[in-house]
Amino acid sequence: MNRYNNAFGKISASEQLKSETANRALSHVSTKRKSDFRVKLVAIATVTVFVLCLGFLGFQFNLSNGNVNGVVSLTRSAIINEIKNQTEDNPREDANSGWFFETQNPTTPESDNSTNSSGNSGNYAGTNVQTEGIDEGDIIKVDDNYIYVLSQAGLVIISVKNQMEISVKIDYDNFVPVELFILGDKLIVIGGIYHSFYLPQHSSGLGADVLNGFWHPSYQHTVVKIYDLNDRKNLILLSETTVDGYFETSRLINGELILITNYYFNLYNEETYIPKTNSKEIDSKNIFVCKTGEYRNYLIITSLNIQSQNMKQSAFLGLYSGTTYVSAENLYFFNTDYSSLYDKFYNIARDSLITRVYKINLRTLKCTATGKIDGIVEDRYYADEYNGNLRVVSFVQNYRNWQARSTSVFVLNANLKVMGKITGIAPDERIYSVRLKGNDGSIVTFRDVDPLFKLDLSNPWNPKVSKGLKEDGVNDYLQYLTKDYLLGLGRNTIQTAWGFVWGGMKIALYDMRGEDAVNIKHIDIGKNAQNVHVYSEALWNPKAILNDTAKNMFSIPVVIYEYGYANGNYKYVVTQGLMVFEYDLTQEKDEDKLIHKGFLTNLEAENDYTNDWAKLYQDSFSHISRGARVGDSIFTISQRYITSYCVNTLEETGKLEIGDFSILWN
Amino acid sequence: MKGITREAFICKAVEEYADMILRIAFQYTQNRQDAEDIMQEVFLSLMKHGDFNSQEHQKAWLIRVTVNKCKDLLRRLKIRQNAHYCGVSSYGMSQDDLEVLDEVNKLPPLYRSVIYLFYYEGYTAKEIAKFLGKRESAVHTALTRARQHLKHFLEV
Repeated sequence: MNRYNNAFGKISASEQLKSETANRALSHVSTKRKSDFRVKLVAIATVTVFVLCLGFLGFQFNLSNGNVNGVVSLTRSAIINEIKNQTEDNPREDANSGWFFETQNPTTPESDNSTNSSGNSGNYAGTNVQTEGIDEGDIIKVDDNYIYVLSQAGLVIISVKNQMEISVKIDYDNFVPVELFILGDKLIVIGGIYHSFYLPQHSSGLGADVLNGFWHPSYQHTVVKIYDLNDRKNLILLSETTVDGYFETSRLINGELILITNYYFNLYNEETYIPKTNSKEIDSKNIFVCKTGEYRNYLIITSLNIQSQNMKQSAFLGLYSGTTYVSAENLYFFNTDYSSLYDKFYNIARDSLITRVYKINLRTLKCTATGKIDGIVEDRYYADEYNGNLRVVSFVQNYRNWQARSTSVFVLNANLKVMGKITGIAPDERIYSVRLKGNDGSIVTFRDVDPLFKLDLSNPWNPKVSKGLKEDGVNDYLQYLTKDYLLGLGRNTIQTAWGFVWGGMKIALYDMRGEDAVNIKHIDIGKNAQNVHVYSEALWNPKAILNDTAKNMFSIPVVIYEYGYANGNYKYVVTQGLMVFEYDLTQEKDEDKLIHKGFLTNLEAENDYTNDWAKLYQDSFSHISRGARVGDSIFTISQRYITSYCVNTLEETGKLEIGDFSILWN
Repeated sequence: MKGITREAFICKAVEEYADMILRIAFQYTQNRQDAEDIMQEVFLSLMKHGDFNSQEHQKAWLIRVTVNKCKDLLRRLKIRQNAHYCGVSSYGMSQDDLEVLDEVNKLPPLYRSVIYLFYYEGYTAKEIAKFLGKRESAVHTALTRARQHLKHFLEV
């Protein structure tokens, strides 16, 4: 054996041979590519000539109709047939029965007279977004001199240049604003029109409708209002776009508003089968059918240029928004295929669920690729596009054995084919948060303790995962401050005899330079005790975080409830406000890298509501929902007040009432 | 796929598998020049193929492609049966090593690769059967016979 091994071990490739081989392989591919390109050029030219000839002869022939695997383009009548044929088994009712909508006439834009414009120098902290450069809509937005707030009182614009004052206030009637954006001198408000509906007496349809999985949400039209901001005392409505369907999500990329709405048509009324925009049917050229076999809705993607008001639209029949991730160039929809789990007798046919991935190009609004991965993608932060590859973290639940669950990481190429993957990370646990940035990534899973895994995604064919840092509690939100430092926001757990219970919240700083993460600073938010409950919107909505990278500050709104019996008396004490943290990674000691800077509140530091429940209700309007920073001031925003503080000392410098809610309790 | 990752991919593969491919090719061709040519061809194929699900899959694929390419070459040339190890001395082999190779050379080509994959790469008979496209029993037979023949080398 030894002699054999010795002899064969000596046959080895020299370094020169190896490099020669690698170079030959690489150069071969690039020359092949060039020839490919030439062949393609000839092919394209031939096809173009052919198409032009066909066009000349009067044929209607569309080459780029966006057909990829499972997504097809059909004519209007074919679309209606597709919907009808799937409902053949259902008892068809008269088109006039079922649900009725009261139609609303959208208000017409008022006359315009614009004045000078305002600049945008970036002297403020914007919304905390997933990807830099891709703005996400929120209930507050700021620019150099103004804060824009959507509250129960409507739209309020507050000037904060010298002294805080309300510049304009708009109450909406029959329009529920959801999100807003600022782009230069334009203000964009997105909301829904509310419709009342009733069920006709002769219809026994309610149960049937629900059983068919078919129901109508309370509003069906999404409206985008664009205002001119040149005169902030007198806003001018420039345009109003009404799109069918209820609002899903929106982004603002390079001056284009991307709006995603979900339109459920009335199965019993053929007139509603094709979605409308501004009361005009969407051209069937722009409608695509995702061959899922079951059609209840359209997903409508609207791309609206804010300056030129040019609009592009695509509607996808049978596509659900599911989890929506938007990169600078593409939209990704992750649709969990629940039907794949069962066979036709409703027996479980597979171990775990499949998620279908649809990739839609933002410029053409056409589906360019579809793919499939194991498991489900529960949050948009679980996906990220980098160098044209999509990286996804999915949660794999085994439906035959409920104890068996794990986490997988997939790297998909531009055609959504799997390049590399890791399966079976963290058996028995569930994903709580994920952050992917460039070649790095982190995953937090949890059952009893929190492992924080570090991902190495530098080789897309071979992603790697670390062993994981185990500590008590769990992180619900992760953010890379730099490549080497990760901030985690989450909850503490308290171990008891029968398992864990949730404790207070925590914020922690991790050093990511080593093989695994190292927790270098940990701050508790609220007492970590069983009779204390701490809640923050930031745990599920990253937009609630004021992430001020210019001032190295990180602020979150929190509510701390403390309750229970003390000395025989029941007590109920609430603390609510904005927690302000500051980080400085240049500090030498780890202890000083992250500090709790202060706590801003509109109320007392501790509010005892044990004997005064009415006050609890009144005070809830002063609960801070967001923080904002403009210039050297930090602002807290609640339904009732805007309060300003000095950014360095956190001393209160002003307070303004923006909504009077006393009518609600008097 | 960016240029840099493509490069890293092929360099890593060459670093890891060049020797293995060379040894397998050598057992078929018994000629250094041909073995090196085959190795380069194998990496060209790898570049065209692209990504794999796992390292193991990639390695198995490489073995399979190497064996196929060697067979093609032998079929084309129908020679080398009596050729001696040309250009072996430059691998730094001693008289003792050449003796081993001479003995191995007396075996049919299938036996040679079976014995190499089993003893040197540590694959099981089942896996080898898959790579070479043979039945598992054929691999067992080859192993037993080769073992008998090379008894005094394998046991020392």
